[in-house]
Amino acid sequence: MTRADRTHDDAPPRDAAARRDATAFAPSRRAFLRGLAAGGGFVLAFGLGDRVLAHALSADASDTPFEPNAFLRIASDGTITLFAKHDEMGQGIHTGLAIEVAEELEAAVADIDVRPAPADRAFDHSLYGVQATGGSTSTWTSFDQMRTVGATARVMLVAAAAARWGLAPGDCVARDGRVERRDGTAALTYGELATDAARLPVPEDVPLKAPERFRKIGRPTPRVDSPAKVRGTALFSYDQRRPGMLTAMVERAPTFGGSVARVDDTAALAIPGVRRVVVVPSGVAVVADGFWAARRGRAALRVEWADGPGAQLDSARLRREYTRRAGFPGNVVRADGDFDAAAADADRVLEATYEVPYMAHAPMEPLSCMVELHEDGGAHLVTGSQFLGIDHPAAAAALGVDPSRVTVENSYLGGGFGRRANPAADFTVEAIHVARAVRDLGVPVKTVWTREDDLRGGWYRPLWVNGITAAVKDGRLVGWRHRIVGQSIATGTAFEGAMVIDGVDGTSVEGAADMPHGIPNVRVELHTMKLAVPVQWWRSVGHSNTAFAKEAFLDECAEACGKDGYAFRRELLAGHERLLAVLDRAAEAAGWGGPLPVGVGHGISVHESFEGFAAHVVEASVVDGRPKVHRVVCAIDCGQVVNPDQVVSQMQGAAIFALSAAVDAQITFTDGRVDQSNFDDFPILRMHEAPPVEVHIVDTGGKQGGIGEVGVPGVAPALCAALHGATGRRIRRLPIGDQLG
Amino acid sequence: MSTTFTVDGRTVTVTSPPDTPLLWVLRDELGLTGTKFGCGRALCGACTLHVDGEAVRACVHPVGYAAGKDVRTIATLEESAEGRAVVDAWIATEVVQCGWCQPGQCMSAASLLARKPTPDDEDIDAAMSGNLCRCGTYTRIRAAIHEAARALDGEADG
Amino acid sequence: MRTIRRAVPLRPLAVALVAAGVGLLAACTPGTHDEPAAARASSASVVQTPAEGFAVVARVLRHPRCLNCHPAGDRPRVGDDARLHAMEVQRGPANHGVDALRCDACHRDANQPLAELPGAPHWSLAPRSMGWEGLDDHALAAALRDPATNGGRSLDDVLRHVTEDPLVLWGWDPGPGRSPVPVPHDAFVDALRTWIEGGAPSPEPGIVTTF
Repeated sequence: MTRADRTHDDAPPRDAAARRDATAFAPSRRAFLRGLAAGGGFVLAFGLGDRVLAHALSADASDTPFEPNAFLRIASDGTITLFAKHDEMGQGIHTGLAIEVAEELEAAVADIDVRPAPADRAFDHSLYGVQATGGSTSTWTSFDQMRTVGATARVMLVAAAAARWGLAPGDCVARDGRVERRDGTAALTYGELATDAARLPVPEDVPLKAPERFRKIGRPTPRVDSPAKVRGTALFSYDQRRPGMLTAMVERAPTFGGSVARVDDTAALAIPGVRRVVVVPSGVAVVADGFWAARRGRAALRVEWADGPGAQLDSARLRREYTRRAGFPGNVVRADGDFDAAAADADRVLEATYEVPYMAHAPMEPLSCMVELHEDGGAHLVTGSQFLGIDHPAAAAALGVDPSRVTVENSYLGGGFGRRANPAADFTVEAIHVARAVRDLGVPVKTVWTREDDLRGGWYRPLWVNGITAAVKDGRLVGWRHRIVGQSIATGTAFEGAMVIDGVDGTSVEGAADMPHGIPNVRVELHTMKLAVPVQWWRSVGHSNTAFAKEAFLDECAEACGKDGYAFRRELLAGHERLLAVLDRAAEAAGWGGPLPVGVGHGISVHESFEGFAAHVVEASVVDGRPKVHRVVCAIDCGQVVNPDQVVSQMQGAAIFALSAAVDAQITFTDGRVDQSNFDDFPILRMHEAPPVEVHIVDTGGKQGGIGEVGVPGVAPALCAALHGATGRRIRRLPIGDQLG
Repeated sequence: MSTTFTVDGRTVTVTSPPDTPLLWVLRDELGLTGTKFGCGRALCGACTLHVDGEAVRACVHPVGYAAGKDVRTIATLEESAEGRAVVDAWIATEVVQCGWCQPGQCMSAASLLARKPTPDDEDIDAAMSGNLCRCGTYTRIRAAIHEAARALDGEADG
Repeated sequence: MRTIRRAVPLRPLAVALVAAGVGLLAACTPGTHDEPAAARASSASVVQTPAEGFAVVARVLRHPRCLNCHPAGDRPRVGDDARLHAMEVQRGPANHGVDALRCDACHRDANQPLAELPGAPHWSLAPRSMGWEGLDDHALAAALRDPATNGGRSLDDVLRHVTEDPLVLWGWDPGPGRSPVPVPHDAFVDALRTWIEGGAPSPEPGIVTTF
């Protein structure tokens, strides 16, 4: 071991073994491939096999860039490029990954040019084994891997400098993008060392800094994407253009599962700029010179549809049926003790039905995907996706070619919230079908979605109804039965095998089946409904339902036990240190127990999701029959924080996102048709409705966990508890809408 | 039929029919993608830009109306004092998450500050409630507008 | 209490608006709109007395196409159900919205059918002095007569205004997603003329004539 290395290895890495298991990242000599790529690019790849990376950039051989792995590239002009394995959809992960790398590389985060990685197995999710961004896992599953990327490169750059100076590596030190002689007599920039470093062997088992030595991780770091996004120069999928590119818009069946019976495209084709009208599996595509011609052309289509199985969908009927089911036993997911006996012996039995609606993700940037077909049957796609690992093989399958013939380039994502992680690669495959249908035109085709397409296109958070029964004895909660009724997200997808066990989709019961509260008799049951509505993970997935039902009903139980919601939860969560820590912090910061203005109520919640722990206090009142949120205070424990300001930002945004879903937004069906169409009838919070959101980060020294979704589940129940405090009325169905009017 | 106007200081003549929304003329005909699309019905504000100094929604602004006018997009927002203050404050306050709505937010904010240099929270509510942010950055947008106002005030004093 | 066609006692604003909305739903559902409108047209076109004329005028002025932008407060309403305009839209200092969110940020001088966005020249709120929301027929008649509450107009000017003003005329051509005023425009003008020529008398207090 060199001295330079030792400077990073004075203390043993915290939890290193545990984290390595969790991330399944164990770099081996075999997995580190080094070589001079075509054109001179130096490539060191983790687990790449012998494939040439899609993004390997050609360079002058005499000017060899240093590419110590698939993620990192250092050019001789000093440019440092990081190919981000996780997609930037607002959560700040490009910055987070850069911080992790920079910490070990000893370079400034601001000097790293972070680009979205293309589809390639090198960028597989460390836990999921497929290239994906979701589940609030990006930071903690990449933490060791990205630090190793930085550390490996640093060691090689130091070695290159040492060789140049004829010194031992230990006589050199890496600092701020340069390698310096320890005697202070000389320094070389990473750019100046890149070509030399590219020729060096790759070290193994490079030690990582102990957390006490972190200089970047854990400190607020400006986002790397802010300036370009604010100035409008950042490229999103919708912004992608190519010479000759056409724009396509698809008219989809008005009911799920419907199909085209007859098309009259006469009027559509008469619109200037409309080139083609083609039938594709998902509907009728209008291919035109640009968005507006496509939009006008689509409006002029006359399509007769054959109804599909979704034609009978009716929200009122669905809700009745779901509620009826909640009255009957379901598939038993958890059975601690004997709930029935506890209920029979109870002083009091409480029952309630809680309900959340279908919900659209509605990212601000609507979906799009551009396809350039190659003559060999392959294609190049430019998209905005959380799921390149699913899209890539799906695109190849749709084209009938080997995935090696298909390349997929990602963009910034104008919001995702789960929608862009489609298990069926819906918008990707559709774009392939459209492009193939007009292959003879020989130009790239970008298939774009409108807001109406987005809201009516399915893949919603499922409608869920919860029947919950609690047994109270001697002022204590002794029994809890939670019946969940809803569709399975994972069934029928590639994830079914991993996620659906004994007929139970883990996402349907997460947050309920694993509730940690000290209740001796707990029973959790699931009714899985099969419907024509395509459903999908929506920021916080099952927790967006179960936490609402659980926490809101706990508030009813607290009242029945004559206890304050905070004290009640403290008792039930005894021994659960991280939950208690955030609960206490939120309560303290909000001044729980202190006086509130007349007419204002407060509510509290605490919930674990995605290995993150969050507590919320909401203060709210009712004005003109509508909920008014005055303030949200939250606390989060996600373990070692990489960029605290972005944790705050995620929690702030999550609270607003959750409030939108709690207050007004929903997707409903009448006669099989989606009732909503745009932001007028799918209202999300606006500036004048947005409360201040105060965020407190708690670190109990526990394992790293999630952030992005963790801030969502607890908001709605805390709000409803606050409204109960303000009005005495219980809200058991979201959205609240006019229920208080 | 063509329409001539200036975009970000450059004179352009476009051939899109005059009822084509300015948004699609900019994005598809001129390749200026800084102005974003979010709803197509003036409900979200992502496409906000300035025509003769007034904030308008480009997705419902027929290009015919822009004839002879001065259209400003996010690309040259920083050429005005308010615009520069807004962009600086947006970056310093770390407003951005996904970023899709932010050019439109900045255009609205600059328009507000140009006429009301020290807006209070009510002014911000009234001016900015036409701009949606699905990521929920409102808290920081509000802070950034106040920050930009302070910076402009400092410049004026200086 | 007198009832002219469908009149309701003066109640809080919301009640009157609901009544207006219900009437509209009955009268203006797509496909059934023409017949009742024609029926009204014939009844309106044969108004004989100033009182009958004013009843037609009052109904028209209380139609959401007119009343939505003649609010008593500072928030316009939208749609056939006369809900508050989203986006916290405000009257502003010149009845044209506030800085950075003026009416013409979105509403230009013509409807935009694909966006279901209404538009007409000088799209704006009526001045606060011309807020009709909550007025009974008696007060509405007074408001129309008084230059202080009718935009400084003589009665002839009022007649010319409703005859020619493109923003008024928009009420009969509001584009998709909105019901047009269900009395033909010329019948409305005739009714107003009948009322004016008959001395523009005030109905008794306490009557709110709606569709």
